[in-house]
Amino acid sequence: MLWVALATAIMLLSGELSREADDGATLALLLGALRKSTIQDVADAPRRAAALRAIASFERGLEAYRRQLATFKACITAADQKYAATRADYDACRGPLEAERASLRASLVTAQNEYEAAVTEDERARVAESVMALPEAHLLDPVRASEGHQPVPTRSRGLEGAMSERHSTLPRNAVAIMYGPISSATFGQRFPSRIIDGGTSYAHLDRTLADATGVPANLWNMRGGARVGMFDDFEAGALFMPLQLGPKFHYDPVLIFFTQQFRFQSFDLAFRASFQTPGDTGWAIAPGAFLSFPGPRLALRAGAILPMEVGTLGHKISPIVGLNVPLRVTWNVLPSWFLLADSGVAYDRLREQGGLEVPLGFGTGYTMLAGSKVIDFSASFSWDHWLVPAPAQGSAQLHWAAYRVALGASLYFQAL
Amino acid sequence: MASPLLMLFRRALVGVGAVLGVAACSARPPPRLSVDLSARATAKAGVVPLVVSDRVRAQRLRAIYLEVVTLGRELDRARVDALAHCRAAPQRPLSGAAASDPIGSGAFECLIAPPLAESHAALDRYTQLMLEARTLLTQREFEKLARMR
Repeated sequence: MLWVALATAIMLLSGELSREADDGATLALLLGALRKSTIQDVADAPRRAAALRAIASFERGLEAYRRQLATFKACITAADQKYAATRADYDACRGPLEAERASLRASLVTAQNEYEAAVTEDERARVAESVMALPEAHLLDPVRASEGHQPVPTRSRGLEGAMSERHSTLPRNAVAIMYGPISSATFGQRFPSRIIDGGTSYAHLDRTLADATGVPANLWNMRGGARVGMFDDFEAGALFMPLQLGPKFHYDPVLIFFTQQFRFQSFDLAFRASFQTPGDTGWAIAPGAFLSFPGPRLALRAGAILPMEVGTLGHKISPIVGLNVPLRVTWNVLPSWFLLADSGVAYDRLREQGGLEVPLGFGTGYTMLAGSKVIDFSASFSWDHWLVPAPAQGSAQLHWAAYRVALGASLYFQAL
Repeated sequence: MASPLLMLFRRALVGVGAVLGVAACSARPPPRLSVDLSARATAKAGVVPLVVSDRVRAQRLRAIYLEVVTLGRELDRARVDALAHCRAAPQRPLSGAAASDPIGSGAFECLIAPPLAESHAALDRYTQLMLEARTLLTQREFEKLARMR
């Protein structure tokens, strides 16, 4: 049974039982245990030496097979990289591997015969018992290996190309270095005291709005960060370089976010929890739900977010609660070039009457492939306080003189 | 009090550290063949439209790469099934003591090298798909996609 299990382990090595586990290391560990147990349990020195020789000859055969397996993989990779490759190039990769498999089979059978001839039945039982007691040995049982077979990933782990086709979270193991506006992570990141987006931005407020909100009339910001697809539909990230460049230089709070996505046939539902490290109004949190409809040319994304600024333990404030319902339409004119329009409704401070606003924004971007990385160059222009339909005093107002311009670039790559 | 530049540098370090930390935590040992093939195809599938502007060619290419991913999974499953089959049904039915002998019964040989028909068929299909992909790509497009992985 022990040798049958070891034979199974060889198949693990060829890569089909378990996709990602380090079976080579596991097998080496089991062979080490087999050798150790043989030394301990086989009392007679000549028989012990014969048994150890059998193990060593098996290891040599196995090593040769593993080398050939690596050669085979390299051969297929080389053919894949060659534009002029033909069927003959692929077929040529197989021959040596088949021969090595046959050789390994022979060496394993020989080793088993030699080993079993060298040890008694009792010794063999003790050795088998101690090796199979190792937790790693469960990999050698095909039935258990089959049961424990890793679930098929439900999402491609490659980078997503066209902007309108992208989902709310990055694929697993994809990383984005964000230094550009209009990414999904900053979609709807509007807090009562500040609006957050990546890249370099300039925001201008007219005097009325500047006085009402306490935000400087001319504000320069630079925000950069990173996000990572940690699982197929879960990402985490942060804008950890949030600088206010003018009118006075200082560090803004860091924005941290976690997004869990649920993909359906034609739409995605995502839940995002964002929070900011303490600023003038303490901690800020913004739980939100998002619905998006990705498509080859056109995408629609909407959200409902409840941003709150809640003070700190040392500096308690009455929580400032807002409501933000952003809406975005993205149109990929070409796979590499997109236009987008942003709107929705925002109520930055629910306690204050007449604070409902309708923002309006536009953006564009160019996506390019640079080696194995994807880069988005993006720019946006928005009137964050464009329409105030029912102010506390007077009639509806349009704020054309309060605008924000942002631009930057984001880089995407596969971490593994 | 730390200078703004120093603080900026520290924050950058923290950020880079966080990204590397996350990447390191999810690090796994080097993948094997079926995983390699799938990973190469997966890396290309999403970005095909950025390289191939013609929609029809881009769609077919994406379908090819996705089929390679499926092929990798099928290969995995076929080998698991083959191994389970080896344990359950010896290749050469024997009677008496020979039946309990894993070598004599052929079970041992089957376990070491289970029938490779599925592997051969999968590799044939893979070759066929890769050759078809070449007919849909110019050399420049091919080289751009090849750089993905």
